[in-house]
Amino acid sequence: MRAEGKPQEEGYAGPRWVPYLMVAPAMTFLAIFTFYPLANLVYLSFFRYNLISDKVFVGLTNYRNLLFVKKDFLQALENTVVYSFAVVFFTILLAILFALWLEKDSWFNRFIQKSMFTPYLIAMVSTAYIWSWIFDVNSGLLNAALALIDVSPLRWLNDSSLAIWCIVIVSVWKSLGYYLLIVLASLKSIPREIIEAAELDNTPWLRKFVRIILPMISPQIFFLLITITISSFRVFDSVQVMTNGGPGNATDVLVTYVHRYAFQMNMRVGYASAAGSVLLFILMVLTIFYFRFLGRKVHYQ
Amino acid sequence: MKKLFVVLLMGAVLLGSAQGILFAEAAAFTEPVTITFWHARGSSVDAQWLEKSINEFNATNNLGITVEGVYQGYFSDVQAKTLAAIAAGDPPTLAEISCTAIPLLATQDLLVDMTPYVNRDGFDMNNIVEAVSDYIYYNGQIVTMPYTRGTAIMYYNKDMYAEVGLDRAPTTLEELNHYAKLIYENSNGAVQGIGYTIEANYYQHYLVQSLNGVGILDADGTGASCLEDGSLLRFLTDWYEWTEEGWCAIPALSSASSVVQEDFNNKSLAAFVSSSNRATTILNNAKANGIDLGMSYTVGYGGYSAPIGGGSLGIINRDNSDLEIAAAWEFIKFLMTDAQVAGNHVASGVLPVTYSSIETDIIQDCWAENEGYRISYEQLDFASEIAFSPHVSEWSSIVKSAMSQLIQGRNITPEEVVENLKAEAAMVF
Amino acid sequence: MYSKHTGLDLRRGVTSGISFAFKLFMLVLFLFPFYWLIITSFKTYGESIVFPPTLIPRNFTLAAFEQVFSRLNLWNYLKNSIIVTLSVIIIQTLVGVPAAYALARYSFRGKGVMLALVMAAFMVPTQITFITVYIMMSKLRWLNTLLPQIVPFGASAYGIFLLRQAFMQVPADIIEAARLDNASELKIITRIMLPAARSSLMTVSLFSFVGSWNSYFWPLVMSNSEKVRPLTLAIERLKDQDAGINWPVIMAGNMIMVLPVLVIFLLLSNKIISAVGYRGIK
Repeated sequence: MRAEGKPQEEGYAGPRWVPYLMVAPAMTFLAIFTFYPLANLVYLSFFRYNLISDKVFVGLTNYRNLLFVKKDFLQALENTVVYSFAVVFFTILLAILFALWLEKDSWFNRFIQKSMFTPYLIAMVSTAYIWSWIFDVNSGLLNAALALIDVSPLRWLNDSSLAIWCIVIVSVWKSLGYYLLIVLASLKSIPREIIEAAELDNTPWLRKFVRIILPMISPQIFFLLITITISSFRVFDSVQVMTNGGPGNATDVLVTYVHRYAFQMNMRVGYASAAGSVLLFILMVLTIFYFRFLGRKVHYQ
Repeated sequence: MKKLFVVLLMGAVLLGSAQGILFAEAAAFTEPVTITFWHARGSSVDAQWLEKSINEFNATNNLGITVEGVYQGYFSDVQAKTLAAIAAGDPPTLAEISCTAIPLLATQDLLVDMTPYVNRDGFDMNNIVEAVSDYIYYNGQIVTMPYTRGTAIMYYNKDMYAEVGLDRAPTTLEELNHYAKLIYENSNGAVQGIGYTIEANYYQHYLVQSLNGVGILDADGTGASCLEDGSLLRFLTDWYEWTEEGWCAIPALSSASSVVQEDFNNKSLAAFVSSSNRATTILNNAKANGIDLGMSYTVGYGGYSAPIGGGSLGIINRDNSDLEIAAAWEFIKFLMTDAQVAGNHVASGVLPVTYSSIETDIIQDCWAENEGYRISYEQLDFASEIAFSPHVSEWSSIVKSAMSQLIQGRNITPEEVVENLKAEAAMVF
Repeated sequence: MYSKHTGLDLRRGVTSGISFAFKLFMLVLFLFPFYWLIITSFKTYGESIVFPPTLIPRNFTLAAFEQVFSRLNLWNYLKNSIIVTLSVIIIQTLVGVPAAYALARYSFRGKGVMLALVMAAFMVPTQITFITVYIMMSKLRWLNTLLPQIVPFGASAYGIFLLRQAFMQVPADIIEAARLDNASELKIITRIMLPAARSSLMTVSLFSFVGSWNSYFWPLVMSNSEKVRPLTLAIERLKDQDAGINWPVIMAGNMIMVLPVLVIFLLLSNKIISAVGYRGIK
């Protein structure tokens, strides 16, 4: 009989403390370098503080300014949300489309997959440089191409409405190859019998896709959905290098906002911490959302 | 033999004591000491000159002092890192601090008062060019020494302006605009006449200052009357119009000053305003591209107007031992010698900060060859800097963002910008 | 388990021709920026800013590379990048594998909470934690060492999570059988778990490698002297402070930085792609 409370999975009969020992290093690292700074962040958000002079307790003032008085945080929030959803949408859509298209195993297809994967390996900073140049208004490649077909040049990164989409393009370009491979693999892992059964049926392709393929790869797609959303909310390097948040606040995102207030504006650490806390709160909501849903989907299998 | 030995010995003692007299006060340096110097001199010209300076000091100071220079980024990066380091308890000994950062540090008592050292060594404070003495004193203390001070210069393509009839430098903004527009029209929009990048406490400062006398921040640093008296509104409306008409280049979003120089070298821009601290690099690039470069005073509404900015040397007043502070002072003294000040100016274009250095051949010869360098110095007669206030850093950042939205984003009106700034001002001041 | 394909039959003839053309277009789209990186590094400064831009360098020159090598002490930065990246991968593996295993195959009090914490840690951007960590590092006097670039990354939440997924896939009977054989936990991990999760392990290592090698912001904040700065910062150094970005020099620097990663990728590409592909699904 297995006693209660003992780690009794799969015939394990060793000491109870072994699992704790195993997770201890990881938890220690996380506690010191992730959770303590987080707690400190939230703590600081209730103060006015510039690292040098003493902290001054200001209660909810930072939050009030952040959300109701100043307008730039809401702008940054809006930009981040727009950016994230655009990246998620296009990445997943294109990843699925390309995966379907490149599914057949041929050296050419594999070559394309590899080529599409390479941008993932380059530093975001380098990528941003190359693309900044491509988007350059006066001497960039895109405007040169437009000139060839007699279209007047666009202002790309300098255009308030267009700038954020330029950054979306760069993000999608950079990580598409990686996610493509993941979708490809999940396509390949669909049991053969199911596919063959569907083929026998002579069902039209679209229905086959929606009714059979999509549900089979949905756990994977869902994982991607959340992962990409979360990493999109954290975007920083590309924006910093390509537009520095500009023009005005058009491409300011949450992390560049926090960074700017913490570093460049008289070190308003308290205020920046408040912004960081809001970012954190949003990510927490997203994660809980993820847990609830993913829990369900995984059991679906 | 014995006599010779005694003579030699006495000679050695005399020499030793002579040295001893020279460095009498420096007998404090009983052990070698290394000090760190955080700076923003990143361009190859600046970095090379600084390395030369440091190596020379390290090799010749005979006091066992070694200076270790560390490049930290732009002025804003040096400021941020230094503040963070102070907060963490491990700051550098010496830092190259921008004008925006000095008030922040001085008002929090983070800079060493150099007065005792100045007095002890008889350092002549009157030798320092008056125009750059503004950020030296705080509360009667000597908190910094000017080092890489600079002003803005109008760099222009002499040929292009001569072609439209201006064969000398413009003397007012109105004049500049007139010819800039001509260049644009004559080239059917291929060449723009003038371009400004957005540095609110520097370039836009002098433009607004020529309208209202104080610039974007009031003299006492506690408010921004330019928001109320219509001067900022007027400037923003004008600037927007100039860019709208096309002859005034809109600055790029990142590395704007770099882009402006590229366009200038590409001959698609006929003039731009940039720091005098980059004079050497800009000159070299222009030469390489076959452009006859003109350097002249910057102009504002109705006449000359110029900013002053750049970096100064400050010794950090926390967590640095007396020995380190004394060593830092020796390095500062070295950097303020004529050879160093003159060499600094000629090598990179930063302002010469002492009167005596100007008399040297190094500078006189340079000015004879290229009047552009002399211009930056002469401009000091009418140049002004933004007010000494801890709010500068934040306020100029806010103004810069607002200007960016207007000029680059172009989805807002000047009136709205001013209204937004008023709301921001209420929170800053 | 494989399937031939999902039945997306492309009709021959016209559609396959269009498909081929489109594939070429894709190749161009993804490889062109690289091509651009490479040729710009062989151009002169004057040619790099000319409009319309040239697709093939008119004057092929190595001047940019010469400048990079002469202005930077490349070996110092390269050494730092290598040490930091390898250290991070090793520590993350040593710390993450046991943690993932415990979270995957044991049940113990607090497991749910810990799992939630790992997930929570995954979403925290470093731009939020850096101030506190910076002050920590400064108090420890570590800012002149490579440690701040390594130690805070000792535990990779993403890595633990992925490995856990992979470990959970191993059939329970194998483990029970091993336990009946009196195998130690260590043996179970090394003989059963790791081989089964080989592809996930590779994915996680690749992720860490790329992340560490290419990281810019963190070392920027956490290094106070040149001797501990990695390659990414060195390349930034090349950007002459507002004296005009010298595109060929910057691109040459970036090429040098990308080269090791590309080489590794090309050598191991087949393995990597199959690893990423089969990650923890079946």
